[in-house]
Formats: sequence, C-alpha cells, structure tokens
Amino acid sequence: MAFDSSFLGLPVELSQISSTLKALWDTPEQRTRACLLNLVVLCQGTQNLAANTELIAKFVRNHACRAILVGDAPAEKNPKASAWIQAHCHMTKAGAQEICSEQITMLAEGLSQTTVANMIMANLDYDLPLNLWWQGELPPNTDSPLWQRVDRLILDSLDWQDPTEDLKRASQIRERFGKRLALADLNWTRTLSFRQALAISFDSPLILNELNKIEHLEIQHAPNARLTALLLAGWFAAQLSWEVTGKTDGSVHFLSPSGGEINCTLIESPGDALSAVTVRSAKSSLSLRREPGSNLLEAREESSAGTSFVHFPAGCSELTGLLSEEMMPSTQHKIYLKTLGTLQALLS
Amino acid sequence: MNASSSPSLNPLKEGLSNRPLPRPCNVVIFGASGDLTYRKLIPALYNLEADGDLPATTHITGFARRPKTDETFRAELSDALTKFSRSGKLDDVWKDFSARVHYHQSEFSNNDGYKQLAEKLDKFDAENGTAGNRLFYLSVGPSEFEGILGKLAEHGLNKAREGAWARVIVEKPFGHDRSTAHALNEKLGHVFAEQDTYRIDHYLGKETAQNIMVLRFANSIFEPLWNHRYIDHIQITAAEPMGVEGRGPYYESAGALRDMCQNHLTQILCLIAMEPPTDLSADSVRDEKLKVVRALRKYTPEEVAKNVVRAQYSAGAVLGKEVLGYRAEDRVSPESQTETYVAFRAFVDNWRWDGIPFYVRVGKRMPKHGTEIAIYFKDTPGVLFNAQQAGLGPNVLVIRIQPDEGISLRIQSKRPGAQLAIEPVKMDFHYKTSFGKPSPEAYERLLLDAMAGDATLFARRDEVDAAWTFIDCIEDAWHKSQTPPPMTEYPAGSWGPKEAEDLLAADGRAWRRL
Repeated sequence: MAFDSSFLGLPVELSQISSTLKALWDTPEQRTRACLLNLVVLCQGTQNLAANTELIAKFVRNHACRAILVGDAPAEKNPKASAWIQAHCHMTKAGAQEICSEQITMLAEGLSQTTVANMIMANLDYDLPLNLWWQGELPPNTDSPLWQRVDRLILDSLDWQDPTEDLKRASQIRERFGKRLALADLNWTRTLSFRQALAISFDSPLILNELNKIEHLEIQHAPNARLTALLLAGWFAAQLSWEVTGKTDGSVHFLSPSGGEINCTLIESPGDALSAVTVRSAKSSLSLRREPGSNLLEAREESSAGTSFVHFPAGCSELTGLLSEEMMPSTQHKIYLKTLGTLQALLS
Repeated sequence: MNASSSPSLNPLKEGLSNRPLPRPCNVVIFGASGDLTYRKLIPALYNLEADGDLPATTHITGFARRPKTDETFRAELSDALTKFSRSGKLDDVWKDFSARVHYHQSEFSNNDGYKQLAEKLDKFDAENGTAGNRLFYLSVGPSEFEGILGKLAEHGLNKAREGAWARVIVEKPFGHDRSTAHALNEKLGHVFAEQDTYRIDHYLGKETAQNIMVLRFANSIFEPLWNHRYIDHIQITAAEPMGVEGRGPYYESAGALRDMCQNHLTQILCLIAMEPPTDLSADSVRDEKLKVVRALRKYTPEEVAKNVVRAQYSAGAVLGKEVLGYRAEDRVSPESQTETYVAFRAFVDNWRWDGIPFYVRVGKRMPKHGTEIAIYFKDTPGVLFNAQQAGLGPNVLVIRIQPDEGISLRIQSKRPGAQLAIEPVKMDFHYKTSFGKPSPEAYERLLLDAMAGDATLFARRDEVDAAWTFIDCIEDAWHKSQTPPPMTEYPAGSWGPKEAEDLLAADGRAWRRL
C-alpha cells in the first residue's frame, strides 16, 4: 500500500528545501519564524512519522526550533530519498503575530548511514545546538559525521529491549564524545517529579536526619517500567553513596556508608511508570503516591511528631512534556551520569 | 522555616533545580476588592496555574471589606481574567483554579475577621496539605499596613509552625521619605523577619530587567567594555502617555520622583551599574545593588538646581486626543507643586563609573509608552571612516524593558553600492518572537519567587533606605530650600520641557528619540 504523506506538508526536492523554506518566510503574512535549536528525530521507517509530527507540533509551542524528522529504512532495496516541509504556527495571544517553527521530514530508503547524516547536516539551522532524538535501540557504531555535531543525544531507556547492551552503548557514546555530548534520557525525566518531591520532603528538619538512616525503600512501577524504578533506586544509591550488595528478582540490597543495610523492593503495579515510593527508617516513614489520572503526588510523612501530608505536582508523563522538560537547561546531566554508574551495578 | 538546606546536607537536592522550589501554600490578599487584584494578581496566579507552575493545592483567599460571596468574587475575577490574562481563560483551568479561590469579608481592624481567617487557613492546611505555609499580600494603602500587621501578629498569623513559613509581600510606596520608610520598616520588622518580608517592585519581575544581569555576566563581549573607559553615558527613560487617571490625590502626595525613581528606576540603574556578585543568592545580588545606591552622588540644593529638572504637563494632545493640563486634573490642586516629569543627571562615584553621567527621565503624558536603557559607547577615533564622514553616530546598546521587550545594538555598516557610504543599522532581539512563546507577566515570577523563598528580585530594607537618602536630597532642595529650583512646564504629548533638553545639551549630548 502506498505511503500517505499528506500530513507531512509540501513535498520538495532535497536540493530545494532551503530555498523553499526561505520563500515560505518571504511572504508578507503576519507571521514570523522563530528558532532556538535544531531537533533531529530519527525513527525507523514510515510508521512513526505521523505520531512524531503530532509531537513536534506540540513541542514547538514551547521550544521554537527547526525540527528534522527522519524516517530511516536502510533495508529497502531501491535507494531513494524524499522530503517534505511544513510550518507549525501558533499565536501567543489573540491578534498577535503568528510564531512558526519549521519541520523538514525526510524519508531515507535504502541509504547508507553516511548519506542520511549528510542529508541531515545539509539542512541544520546554522550556529544552533543540535539535539538528536534517537528513537529505539542505540546504534552499535557512531562513526557517521553527524555524531561529531550532536550536542545532546535524547533517548528513552523505557524502550530498551536489552538494557545491559543499550547501557553499554550509551556509556561508549559518552566515553567517545565526552562532555561535549549530553545524554538526555526521557525515562530519567519520568522520575523527576518523584525526585523533586523526595528532595523537598527530606528538606524538612523533622526528617532530614533520617536520610542517613533509611532501612527500606519500596518502589511501585508499571510492568514495563522496571528500568524506571531502577533509575530511581540508582539515584538514591548514587546520591547517598550506597553500595549494591545483592539482588533478587524483586529486590535489591544496599549498604550505606555507615554500614546500615537498605532493602529496596520493586513492586509491579498497573498505571503510570512510577505510582508510589515509600522510604522507611526506624523512626519515620515517607510515602509518595500518585493516584491514576491525578496530576498530584501526595506525600505522607509519619514520625514521632505525628502524621502530615502535602501535595506536589506529579509532572508530565506524556512524551511531549518529557521532551520539553529535557530541553530546560539544568545540571541534571551530572546526576544522571552518576546514576548510570549505579544502574550498571544493578543490571550486571 | 525559610532557609532550605544545602545539597551538602540534603544530597537528594543536588542538581534538581538552580533555584528554590515554590511550596504549596495559602495566599491571602488584603485589599482583594482593589484594582491590582483583578488586573494583576489573580491573572498572574491563574497563568501560573495554566502553565503548571503554581504549586499544587495552593489556595487563594481575598480579604476585603465589601460584602461578597465566594461565588460573586469568582464571577468578578472570571470577567477580569477575560480582559487581563495574557493567555486568556481556559474553562478547564479556570474550573480547577477558581475552586481554590475564596473571599473573606472583614474590616481590617476586626478581630473576629482574623480569628475566622486563621480557622479557615488551618482548615485548608488540613484538607489540602499546604503544611501551614502562608503568603500575605498587602495590596492596600500604606495607611492600612500598621493595622493589618498588628492584627496578623495578634492572631499569631505571622508565626509559622515548625517546618513551614509565613511571609508578607508589601506593595510600594515604601514610605514617603527616608524617615517614613524607616518607620514602616520598623513596623514590618516587628511582625515579620526581614527574610520573610518581600518588598515588591514589579519592574524587577520583567524579563528584560532579569536579563540585564544575564546580558552582562553570561556574555563575554560586554563586560570588558562596561566601564568609564568605553561607555560615554547612559540614558534611562520611562515614558507613559497616561496622565494621573483618577489617582490625583495619591499622585499629589507622591510625584514622579517618588513614584518612579525611588524604586523602579533606581533598581534598573543598580542592575546596570552593579559589580558582578560573588554568587546568585538573593543577598549577594542585593549587596552589590546596595553598593551602587550608596555610591550615587548626593547633591546639595545648588547642585540639584543644576542637575535635576522638574516639570508638570500643561494642556496638549496625546495619541490624537486633547487632554487637560496636570493642575486641571480631577482632585489636583490648581497650585500644585507636584512634578509629573523629572529628568536628572546622576553619577555613581566608584572606580568603574568615574565621571560617567547616568541621565534619567520619567514623565507622564509623553507621546508614547516606553521604558528603556540606552548605553552610549564612546566614539571611534577620528581617523579613517570617522574622519571621512561627519556624524558617524556612536554604538548604542538599547535594553527595552517595555513594551516590545528586547535588546538592540546600533552599529555602523557600509551601505551597499560602489560608494563608501556608512549608515547605522540595528541588530534587534525581540523577546516576543525569538522564543516563540509569550513572556510571563512580572507578577507571575515575583509571586512564584515569594512562594519559593527567593528574595533576589525584591528590595531589601537597606536598599530602600539608601535609595531614599538619594531621593530626599532632591526633594529637600525642591521643598525645603529657601530658593527652590523652578517648576517648569511641558505640553502634554511632548517629550518634556526645554530645560531637560538643555540638561544634556550642556554636556554636548541629546536625549534618545524613542
């Protein structure tokens, strides 16, 4: 069946992309182009082009960019490259000038990695950071010239079929490109609202001292999100200097620097990637729970002083929101890398 | 609790955010029937909710004298949002938000009113997990401050329970002069600690004002030039076409100098002139701003006459409409000596700014609305192009605070063609288009900061005090001197009196055309 490309906008010759885009903005209409970054989304074949186009349309409302969506089908026998362009426009308020971001879509059939990389590089907006979202499993080699230009590699470890192998590849990429390339894992962002709520909750002087006396950690996660739960457990371990001492199917054991044993239990539960976390010490307990469909996390703290509760925002769980959060400048990268070190020990 | 722990004490905080996180709380607005609530505060809180930034379960209680139900209050706010919210009004967001907005009717002096307020807030805490955090916003005239502060203290509302906080936001004017500001700060200090007192100056919440420090200290190309060796002078302008708009009695007691210069323009001047702070903590930034205010040259009455121009608008036309002169405005004395325009030449007497004039002007009934800072760089040497073509203008870096927030840089460029002709061109950055999304309103950022306990963008007591010391020199020369400088006039719709032009002309300079 022929591929319906109508949602991708105007078909253009690859060599005409730049001039056609320029002509688009030379029209005297009440709109202007905005661009702060390059976002390259690399997916397999044509099946995810529609969903990605929808995602890009939402994403650009908060992050003006040039989006380059690439459907890569290297196994096709007849080499062929096709391209389309479209603009995603929105008004910031009634009557205001429309603000637009460009989307270039390229379908690469039967082409080599180098050819695809050249197609992408020829269409990057100059002097702006390059964010490459590699959908699916990470590539075994990163020799194509595109990788030399990447500033941020976006991935989603929730999709990893073989976490040990993918983690190894992520580490290799990190080793090869060093600090120049930031790793941004959308699955790490899924843990953000829990990490924030935990950090704030432990800021209370009533339980801050208990941080070094944690005995038990319990994380409830969706059946497909064991790695999300391990990232959260890994974060605790990395930040509190716990060592992995053992693991079974449903639990992990850590040792704190003061010699205390910590038992971490992972429990499958339908719903969001993460639905609840409980941290216990001898004298207190802190539970965070997100009810299905709720946009709040309820934190319940029990100690000798009594019981109290507080609500925190549950954050975003859909991909556009996660991607948007990842694009905010912050220092999370360093903490993520620390956590990956622990994750390696948890997976091995 | 105000100060949150550092990542060294709480390692879970490391890397999570470069600023404190706002906490769920109860916001109480005193003077909730006032214009500010409808035009600014509620739209700001609503937009924070719409953007997902308002801490979950935050409740808002309007405290005012007029009898009103929650429903009536919400209906009025709903109408106001349609007019004043930058993002309009989304039904879903409004439904969730408005359910957390309440009205509390009471006289400001009524003990029962505060008792019931305390009970209401305790109930919200128990139901919503707001943990006893309270933010009181005094959107009332200064004459009400003392009474409200006293009642808050009397009913223990200024004291937070362990692990929680109670903060107060105070609107300008922060006094009428140094001594009244001191008295006001004393009253505040008896009820709330300085770290829990947030003196709001909405200019500091504007994106462009916040961007001044970023422009200076996050870019390497400006700071080496940011001193008396490369900068010729600086102009700060705040112009508005509006008159006193029914606020005659307030304006009569304030005037342009107190209304705009003591707070907004001094703060802007500080951001331009300050040294880099040692870190981005509230006190480090405010320490540096304070040094600038303290370094502002204090004028004798004779020097005020030479360096400061005051004026009132006379009848004229603004934006195509004929308007009255100031003295003919409603509830303004026909013999008023209150200035609606002030222009002055200021000097920051420190190493960096030695001899560099800061020209500041502010006025009502100007031809157009605009607040900006223009940094004029020194001319290139008088050889080569500067020798061939007379009148090559200087490079000018303009920071537009409002409207059309952004930055432009004027540079000289060769005009296309065979001839060597040079013309100035502008490189322009516009906030509203470059980022593809609208900037938040100043009050959004400031309210969120107060909930987070970040006082960087709020004025500290000693800053207010030092700013009044500078302003009082001028006010005293105008109102207490035996030979006060004259009050001049300018027609409404003009850029100010001739004397203001002369002020710069005497230095061989001219005001920027906006």
